[in-house]
Amino acid sequence: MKSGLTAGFIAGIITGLLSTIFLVVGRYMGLYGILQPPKITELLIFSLGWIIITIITTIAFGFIYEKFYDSIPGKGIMRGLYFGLLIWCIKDVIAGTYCIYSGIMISGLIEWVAAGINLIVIGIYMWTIYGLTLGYLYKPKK
Amino acid sequence: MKNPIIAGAIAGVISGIFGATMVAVGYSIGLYGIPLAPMTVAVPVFILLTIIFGTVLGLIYGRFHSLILGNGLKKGLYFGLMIWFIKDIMAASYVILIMEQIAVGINLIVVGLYLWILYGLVLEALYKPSK
Repeated sequence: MKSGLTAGFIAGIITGLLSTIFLVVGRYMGLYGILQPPKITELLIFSLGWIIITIITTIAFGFIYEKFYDSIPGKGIMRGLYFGLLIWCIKDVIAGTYCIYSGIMISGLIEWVAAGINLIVIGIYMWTIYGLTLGYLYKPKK
Repeated sequence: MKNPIIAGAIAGVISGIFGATMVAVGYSIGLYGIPLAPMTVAVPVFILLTIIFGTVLGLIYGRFHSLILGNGLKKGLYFGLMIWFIKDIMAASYVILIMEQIAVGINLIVVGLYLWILYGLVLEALYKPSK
């Protein structure tokens, strides 16, 4: 696939679907605390929202991947993996750390800390899957 | 300055001080409600975090410098806006729409905008890649 946008779009669908499954399974396992079991409609709305945001985000990342392709270290799938981890570092680790900081130092709200931890933990498998899929799908023009 | 890591760290110091000042102003006018930690702790930690992340982003900037759009300060501005877009807009969209933490998301977007624009501009002003 020679278009970063299309590769990003397909990788986004796969990432969105897989991460939704992980999130739903995690919720039923009680990974996010003791919550009321979600209703089916709630679950569908949540899953759909997650997948749509992921696809929009990953199309943009596909474009960035194509643009910066030559400067990303590694080859093939490994190049995609490094790119995925770079996104995780910028988007989730940095943003998550500021959320945790704000929760502890500024607002004193545990929800802020939870949001930061969520970003970092969910992000690691999400962007690893995305990077690997993108690295597999995207083949640059020669 | 030919070392992007040092340039990133210095840009992190400057934007960190600016960002912490804005947080302190927000604090004093009650924007964040009742503060938990004293300002003497919250401000240095904010600056320290921005220096650490500024260093990491400086390394990334050095690697991708020639591929970033624009010339001169515009290049730094675009990089800062790109970081803001990836880090804050995208992270905030998840935080607001999925985790339903609207205040957290708005905080990321608003603080991030001036923090990373300033960071990008200072970084570009300092960093001169070797030819």
